[in-house]
Amino acid sequence: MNHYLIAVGGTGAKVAESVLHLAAVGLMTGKSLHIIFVDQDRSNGNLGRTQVLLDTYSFCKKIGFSDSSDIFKAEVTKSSPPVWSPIPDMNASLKQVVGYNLIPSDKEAIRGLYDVLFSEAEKQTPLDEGFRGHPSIGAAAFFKAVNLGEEEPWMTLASKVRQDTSSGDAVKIFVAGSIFGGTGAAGVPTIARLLKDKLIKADVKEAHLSIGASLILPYFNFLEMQGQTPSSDQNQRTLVAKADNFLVKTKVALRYYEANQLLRVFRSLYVIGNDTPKAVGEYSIGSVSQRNDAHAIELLSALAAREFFMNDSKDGNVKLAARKSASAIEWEDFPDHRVMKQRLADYLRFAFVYLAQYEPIVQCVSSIKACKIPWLLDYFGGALPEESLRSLNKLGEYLRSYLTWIAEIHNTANQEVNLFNWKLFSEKSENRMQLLTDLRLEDLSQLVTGTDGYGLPGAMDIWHEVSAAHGRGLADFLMALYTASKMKARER
Amino acid sequence: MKRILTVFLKVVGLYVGIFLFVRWLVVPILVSYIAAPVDTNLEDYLDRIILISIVAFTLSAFACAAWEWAALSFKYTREELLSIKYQSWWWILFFLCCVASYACLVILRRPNEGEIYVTSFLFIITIVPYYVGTLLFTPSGAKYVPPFAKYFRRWK
Repeated sequence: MNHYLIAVGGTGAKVAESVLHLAAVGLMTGKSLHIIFVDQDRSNGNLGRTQVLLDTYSFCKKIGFSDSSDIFKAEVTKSSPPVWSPIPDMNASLKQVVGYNLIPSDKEAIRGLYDVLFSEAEKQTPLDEGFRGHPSIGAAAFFKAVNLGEEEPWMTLASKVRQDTSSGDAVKIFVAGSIFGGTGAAGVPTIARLLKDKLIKADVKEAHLSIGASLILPYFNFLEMQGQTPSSDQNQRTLVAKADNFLVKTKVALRYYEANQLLRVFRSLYVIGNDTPKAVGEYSIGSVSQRNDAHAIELLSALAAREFFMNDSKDGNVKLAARKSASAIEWEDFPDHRVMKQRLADYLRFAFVYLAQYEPIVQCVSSIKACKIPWLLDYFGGALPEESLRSLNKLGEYLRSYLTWIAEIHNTANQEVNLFNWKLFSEKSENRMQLLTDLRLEDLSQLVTGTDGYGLPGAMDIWHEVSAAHGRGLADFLMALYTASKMKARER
Repeated sequence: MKRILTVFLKVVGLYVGIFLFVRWLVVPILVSYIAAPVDTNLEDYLDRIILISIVAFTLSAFACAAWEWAALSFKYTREELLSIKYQSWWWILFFLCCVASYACLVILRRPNEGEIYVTSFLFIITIVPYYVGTLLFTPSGAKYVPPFAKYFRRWK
């Protein structure tokens, strides 16, 4: 079954990042996952980071891990163009988008309505850096500019969905975004509604179509920009989001959705939030500087996508997931936590042992006698081919981003996150998580919290097991390493 | 307990095997080629050969065990692999086996005739078990360190 993820806005992109990591560790086992990014701010740092990750994921997927394993199993593709912006003209203002100046003089009332609904700043602000936390601008822009039927990537999406459903497959589309910012609040219900209409018009049977969404409530806030007075020629750029307004905006958005029955389009809806949002630093209008660390809420939202994709939802079911303790986030707080813990932990151990032990060896492999490295002789015939070396470099890049993602999740929530011992592989430097350059192999057994009932092979056991395993080529080698690094559940 | 008993029985079995091998195969061959030192009769000398060969084999087994222990203690980090540590350990133990073999010959006393046969036998009973033992039973992580191991251990 093919799955589709529409990541709306910066938060949507962050959810997509978590979804990619879940796919890498083997928690998204569908045949394929197609991602469409929706953002008015194409240079958004969060979006950029996720796109780089997606490219790295696709590269690692090509290594060809065995079918018996779930890691890198899902084929993840991005749309073309990779990012869709509701308003293609990046420098356009709301005034230009709605054709404010073109309103005929006999319809002065319409112009007056715009004046009542939008301030001058809102009308004048260029939309190249998104809707700046103003869903009202986003809603107007989406309503006026969106025509899903006649532009890419929606045409391709519609044709793919038609193809899937014609062969009898059910199609699942998941939309993720925040409802306290600009793009997500305006885009999530609008896109879902327009898309459904478009697909039904294109002869897709409603019974074969399932649309889900995660609506993310405020889970972070930020400090106002300090000491930055906008220059006179950038006066119009002073329109910014304010964290103080997040809750009010959320409340208004939810009330609006309810009044207009906008959420009925969704078969499954996941409403996710945190009661004590944490400051994530200073506000950024948008663009490259809008680059936030990963958050446990985004992981939860990605797990919601997983739940939606993997299970058949029944109408009328209401599930509730909540923290056990107000002050901490533990494994037990996540749905399907046993499977999740095993997969995330196995992959973390694999990443750790690869980066701490194998990558340094790979980097100077030609200077070491092959007879000292049994896996080099067994899997590669004594020398690493150039192509395998390139793939390993890319995998190293991916594994680093995975460790960084894990470390960030432990530091962005207000609660204490007790999943992994992140200090063993990262440190906080200038408010950013940095990976340690010197990972200690002895720490391997301490990485995961709550490992009673598991056997934890040490680095030496893993080395011997990899050297004893049979196989040929890079994929077999990495599978042997992954299998050997796994936590082994002890028999009771 | 069962495991310890199994290992104990294997070791005893190995020594009985070595004893029988030397007593019934090696000694009858040596009888035809060697002459005992002047002040020793041949029968006593052959008994000493059996005893010394068991001592030599024991030293070889110790060297073998020391290598296994070393191979399991290595950390297999880049720094270790770049150093000459692994192979030097194996060669040091090999050299010790050679020394042990020579020491056994000195203790046994050189025969009047057929010194080459006794020397070869002591060399074989010390060096070969070390080489074959490390070749076959080195932990997988260092399995290709003994010379030519890659021709024997790559059976997949």
